[in-house]
Amino acid sequence: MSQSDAMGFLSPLTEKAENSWFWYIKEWVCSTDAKRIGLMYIIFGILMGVIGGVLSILIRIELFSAGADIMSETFYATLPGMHATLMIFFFVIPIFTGVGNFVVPIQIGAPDMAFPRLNLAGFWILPAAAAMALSAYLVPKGAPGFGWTGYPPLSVQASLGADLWIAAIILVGTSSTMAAVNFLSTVFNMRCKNMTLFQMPLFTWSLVVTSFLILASTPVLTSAMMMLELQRTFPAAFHFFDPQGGGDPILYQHLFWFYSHPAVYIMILPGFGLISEVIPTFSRKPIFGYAVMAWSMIAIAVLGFVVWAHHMFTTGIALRVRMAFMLLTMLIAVPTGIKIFSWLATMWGGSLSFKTPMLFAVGFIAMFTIGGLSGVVLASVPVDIQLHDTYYVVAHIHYVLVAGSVMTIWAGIYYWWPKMTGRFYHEGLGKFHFWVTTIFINVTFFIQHYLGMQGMPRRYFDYDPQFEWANAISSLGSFALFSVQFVALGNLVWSLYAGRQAEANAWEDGETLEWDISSPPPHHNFPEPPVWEPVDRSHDEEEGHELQPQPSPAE
Amino acid sequence: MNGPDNLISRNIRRYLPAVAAVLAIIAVPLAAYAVPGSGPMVSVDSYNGENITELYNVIAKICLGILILVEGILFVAIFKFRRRSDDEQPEQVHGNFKLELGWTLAALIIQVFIGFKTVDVMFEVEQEPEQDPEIVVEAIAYQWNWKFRYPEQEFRGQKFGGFTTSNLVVPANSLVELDVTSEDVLHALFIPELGVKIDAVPGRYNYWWFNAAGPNSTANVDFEQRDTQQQEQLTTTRTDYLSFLRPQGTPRSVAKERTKQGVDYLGSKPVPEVSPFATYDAREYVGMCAELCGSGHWNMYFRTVAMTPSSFEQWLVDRRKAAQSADADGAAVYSANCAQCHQGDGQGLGAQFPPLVDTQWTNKDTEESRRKHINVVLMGSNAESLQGDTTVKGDTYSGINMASHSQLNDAEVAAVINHERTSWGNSGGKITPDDVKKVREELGLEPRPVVRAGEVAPATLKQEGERLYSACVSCHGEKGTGVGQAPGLINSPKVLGTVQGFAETLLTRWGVDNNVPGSHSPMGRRMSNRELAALMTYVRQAWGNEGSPIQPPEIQKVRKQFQSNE
Repeated sequence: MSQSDAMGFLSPLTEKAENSWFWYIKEWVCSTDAKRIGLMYIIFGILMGVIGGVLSILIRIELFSAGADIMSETFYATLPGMHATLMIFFFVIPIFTGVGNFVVPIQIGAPDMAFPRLNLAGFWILPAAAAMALSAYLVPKGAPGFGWTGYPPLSVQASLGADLWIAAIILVGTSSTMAAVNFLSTVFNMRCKNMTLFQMPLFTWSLVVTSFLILASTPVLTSAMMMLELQRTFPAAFHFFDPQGGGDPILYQHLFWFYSHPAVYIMILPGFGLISEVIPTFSRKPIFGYAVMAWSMIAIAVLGFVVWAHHMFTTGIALRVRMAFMLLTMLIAVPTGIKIFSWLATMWGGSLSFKTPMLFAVGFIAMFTIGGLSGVVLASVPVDIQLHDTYYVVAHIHYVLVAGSVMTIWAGIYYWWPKMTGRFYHEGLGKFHFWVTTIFINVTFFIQHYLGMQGMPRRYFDYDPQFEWANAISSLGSFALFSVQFVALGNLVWSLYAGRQAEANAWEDGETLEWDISSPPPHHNFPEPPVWEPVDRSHDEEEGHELQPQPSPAE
Repeated sequence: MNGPDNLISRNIRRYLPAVAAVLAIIAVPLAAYAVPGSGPMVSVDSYNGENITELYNVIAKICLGILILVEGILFVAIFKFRRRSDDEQPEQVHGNFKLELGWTLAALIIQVFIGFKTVDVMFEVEQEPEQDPEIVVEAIAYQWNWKFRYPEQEFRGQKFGGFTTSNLVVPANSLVELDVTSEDVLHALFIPELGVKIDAVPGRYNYWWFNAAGPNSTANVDFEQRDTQQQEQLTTTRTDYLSFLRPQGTPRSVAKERTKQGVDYLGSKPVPEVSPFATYDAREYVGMCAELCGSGHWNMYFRTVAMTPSSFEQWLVDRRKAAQSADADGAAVYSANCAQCHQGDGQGLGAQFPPLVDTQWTNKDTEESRRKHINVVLMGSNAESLQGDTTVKGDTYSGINMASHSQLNDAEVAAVINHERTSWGNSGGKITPDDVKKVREELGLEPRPVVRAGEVAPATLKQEGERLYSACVSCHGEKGTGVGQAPGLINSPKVLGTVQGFAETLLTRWGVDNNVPGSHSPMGRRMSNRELAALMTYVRQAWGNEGSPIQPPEIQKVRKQFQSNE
């Protein structure tokens, strides 16, 4: 086997690139290969995650003790919003898009995405958008201090930084729309022989559902941002959110949450799909209730569109309207519960091997359940009114996004790292990373439930000293949590130089198509078009091959 | 060489760290749920708060049960099905329809149960009881503080109202209605212990109600049994055990200075000695803002003072006395309204709040300086002399954001201005309440003290109404001519007839025709009495209409009639 064969798609394509780093990097920057674009997404996402993490550490340093410590209240006001913007729009969503780019074409047996150049364009919009959002810190009066929600009239009052932020959000929306269109075209047109929709691996399914969510919700966010920008730029002509001109600030909240609630699922559904790949592999058992797992994702997506007003229970919308939104919100717990129990049932009776990806998957189930349950608590209107905009909500979103999305991202990166690079990371360090992360997620965020129930509002620069001890614990936890992530990054870099070589089927029990081709995969994935061997997805063995979807009780 | 015993113990030793760690993951959250004090919510001092807390406890217990179930299954699976040899091949199970249906139904039933339980409490907590509220208070938020306006009303046969305070004073164990709105951006009124939280939205009035337990509640016994020092430790004294981690040396920021000056967090429990309401039989609850509203968001604390009814009556009497006395205490007015930004020594604060010492507004003995001073106090940053960049003592302040203080009466404004002009080395000459009155008239502001409480100058009403009318333009036209099927308002008998007849169209679903798209909903309901009066006055006097002005108290009367029917 020659050197370039062993490096698969990582190997340079031209002689120039073989001899010079400059040309090699240029080859990546201009590559239309979904695998390379996927890796660029992941690297970009990690970079943004680190910057977002630094902002969160600044918050936690400031809140470590009562009183003003290291910054002004004006600067502090920018932190929660910029932290959330970076983490949501530039870390979680791009990383999942990146993993999807790498894995989805291979899982369905396609050589690449349907629109490779669109794919590349979609990616390169992101660094531009990120530069725009971050440059808000360099203009006079600094970054916008109105949170990631940007509610008017505060966001109409804000200075130039807000315009940059709005432009960045519109660009991110454009980028994810491009990616979504691409995923859907790829999956619906380029599946290999025998790969029917209900034969697709669940990770691919999750990207399909997510892409539909993005397509349907992002235009609404973009319109809200355009309306906001128009009102900011031409205050005499546009009064969408200005009561003195006949508008209403609450209208913005409806538009914003019509996107941003589905966005929560955009950030967690790929994680669900990913866990549904990891657990069967390390349990040596097929996923339990495949069809129901797919349908429950669809159910979550559909329900996700009719619950947005639960973010607005205190804005004064009518009692009966809130009641309807509350009941629909609680309904989401049903498909989510189905997924949790199906994962448990997949593990039950299996042969469990606790490699790092599996540890992250199990840790995800253990802790995401807490986030799900605090969601049930928050869905209840009177309780939500008491807890709204307190640290309880902060705890809830972080259990869902850190113990949920971030844990699954790590599970996915560890799981596919041998496939992406052909090298194994250091297993011991990986396990160390898992344990420290898991413990300190709980140290950092669990105590915030308590703060919320005692009435500490979020986005406070300073707080009543009675909350000091709990904030100190939370801050210490966050410092440890943030630092240990660098161990993992170091581990990944180390693996490139000294990691053990990975086989085609790196985990031995991988059943999907990516495990049939060499690690890392060759430039065009498959030497010849693959043929999928249909998998038995039926509930009972007597029925044999059941390739039709089961009607789901969750419907 | 290895006996079976040895094998087992080696296995155990191998998995012990993992098992211990998994146990820790499960135990930490569970313990936290179980630690006394972490469970119950803070809101237990009102009827609503108790209901909410009770509901929370039920839901939390159900959730704890589910959590234990999930973590339990997970733990057993991890332990029982761990891989024992590399070539082990488990039975390939694809699903179990009955099992899946089972847990789907179980999840559904639990959610429906929680849902119904919640709906029950929702109606209990949110629908205002049928009896009339004992007092009504308008809470008005602005960047970054609150004011509480008491409309003209009666409490135990005693008439009061028409004044504004900076703390929310209410009778205990009484039904209090809050009408919450904002002057600028979104805020949210939050009183944790009373279970009150409602957004303050500009252009809207949001309604909420509460019934505070007040000084005789048993919930406070534990606190009150402590000695004063312990009470202070629990409330406002900052613990210092982390001081070594705080940066030393010169203060670096505005906020740092503010902390040095001492922010009054009001504590979660009050220390009677430092409260201005210490002389009354009252219990205080801290109130704050819960919706991000800019950099000062974290510092919008106010006191919610629940007094025994007799103390409340006494407070009303004391207020009236203070308001009527010609010699209002300038220093007291200053510390209540100005010191937060301009500081007790008049030196201002940082880049936002200019000093008051030795400036052209406060320390120049000319007629013009005095007039400008009054103007600024009454108008805030809308004052003529504060437009654009303002230079004070060589420093340029751009975008000054100062609230209007026109709610103070003439005597109070005069007292505080005289205080500023004669303190800290200033000698700008004194003014009289009459000067204030004159400036007020020139600016077209409402007279204070009001001539007849609750009434508003017709010109002011008309002005406010014109702004509100913009919500009607799309159907009734800019000139009141009507658009399409919507009727015109010029010379309309409905508009120019009785107050009652006109109000009916705005407060009920009057005239709603299902065939006419957009025939209007009771738009007036969400408006305050004053807004509705202003809007109606405007319509009655615009475009050649010559109707009489309508005063807010008249609206109050007809509103009761229309809104109690439903």
